[in-house]
Amino acid sequence: MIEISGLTKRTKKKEILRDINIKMDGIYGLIGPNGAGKTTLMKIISGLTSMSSGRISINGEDYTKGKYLKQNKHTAYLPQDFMIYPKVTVNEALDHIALLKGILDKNVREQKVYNSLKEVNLLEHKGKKMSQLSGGLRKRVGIAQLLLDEPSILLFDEPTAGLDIEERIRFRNLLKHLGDNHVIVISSHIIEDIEFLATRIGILKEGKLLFEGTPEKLKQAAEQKIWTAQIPLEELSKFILDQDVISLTEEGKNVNVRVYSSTSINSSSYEIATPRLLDGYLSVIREHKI
Amino acid sequence: MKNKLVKILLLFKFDLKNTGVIWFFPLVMWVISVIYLILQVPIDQSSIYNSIIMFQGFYVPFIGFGIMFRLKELYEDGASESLMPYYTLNLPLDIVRYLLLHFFGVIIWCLVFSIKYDINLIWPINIIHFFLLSILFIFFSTTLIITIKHIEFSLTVLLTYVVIEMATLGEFMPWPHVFIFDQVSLYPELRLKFVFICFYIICLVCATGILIKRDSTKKTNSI
Repeated sequence: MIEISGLTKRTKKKEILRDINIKMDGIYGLIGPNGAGKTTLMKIISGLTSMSSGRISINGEDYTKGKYLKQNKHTAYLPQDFMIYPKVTVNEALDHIALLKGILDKNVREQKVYNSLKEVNLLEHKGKKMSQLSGGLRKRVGIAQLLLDEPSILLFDEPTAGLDIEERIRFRNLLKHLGDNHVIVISSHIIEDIEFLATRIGILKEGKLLFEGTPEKLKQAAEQKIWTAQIPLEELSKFILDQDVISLTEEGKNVNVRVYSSTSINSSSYEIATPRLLDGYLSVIREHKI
Repeated sequence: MKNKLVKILLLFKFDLKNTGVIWFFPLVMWVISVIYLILQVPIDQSSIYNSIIMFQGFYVPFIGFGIMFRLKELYEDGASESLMPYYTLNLPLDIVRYLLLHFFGVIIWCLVFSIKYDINLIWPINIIHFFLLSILFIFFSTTLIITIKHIEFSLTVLLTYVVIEMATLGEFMPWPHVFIFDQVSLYPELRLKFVFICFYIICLVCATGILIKRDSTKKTNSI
């Protein structure tokens, strides 16, 4: 478990993170719009960048050392863009990383590489060159190299960025599988990335933690604020301009629209809807104008 | 100890695989300078020193070539954050293994020279100078690649320095002159040159250490 208390990050020009207090456990989804401070927070937790103040404990032990998090074997971080050694094979790249991590015994190294490749379902691709891999497979190599250390906490920054729909689904399933044995923190600006995956969610906006809790609690934030209506297809353009439309589904010549409204809509054509995770997220973001 | 040696061998093997045939470039330069030394027919005493100049200009500046190509991986797209912690940790070993490899090249060249001519012509001044230059150029190379973060630009800077120094025999440009072009004796200027080379080495060692530490704990402003 990661416990962050009073974490602040300031630069000369602005405050990137303000007094963040979170307990991250299970599969934790850190979401927020672009520029919210998610990547900075992930880099601070992985010791790659400094904080201005605050403390971070991992599995009950305080790892804060000055402005940085001490190097530790518990956490492993996969950056948004991962690409190493394009000219060598997956197996050679992982073996080399294992060597750099200090695993000198050949048999131990081979076993660890095999185990991590198996864990991310990459055994059939181990002979391929890194440059021949798709974005999704490259990210899996990224996870495999993290697993060599057998960390208990995995940090993923925008893990599905640049992946096609199929790769996205496969990657999400992999994260779910890894979540059985690891604490996972996923930072993303796409709510679908964490839907049905995260056991707890934190919403960051402009460096401030606006929400922290379970997906159910996030959905509750949008209760009585989401309305549905059915409108003819030809009226859609005008309707979108007038109302705060969240989503659309086509149904014959009509369109089912979901509308966000924090105040009650007095119209018989509207019905109150059961909120989804996205509705909760939008509700939190819109209600906290900083 | 055995494990360390195996690690060094594996690291060389990986570098060769990752860099490709270009990894052999310093070896090619070394072979050229050795062949030149063997085939050289000196007209007079001073022309013997052409092979020393050749060795300084052709081989010694490229001693840091391998480490430059190794560190360039850090600055490729998408690799920096993943590799930086391990490369920072292994940098001393990387520098030492390449230095030892090239010390070996320097020793063999000196042996060939002493067999063909007389070791007293290069001992002690030139031999010590070669070793100092080897250390200097390996740290110059690391400093360049860590500062510029681009292999082509770093090599261009290195080549520009070496070519201009060789073309002007170290007399024209207002920058440090580290090569020796004359028949040597320990005249005061040469002693001063050695002191300066040592000073440059210390500066470059510090620069490498500070810059890699700065990169590994980069105070990023990205959000």
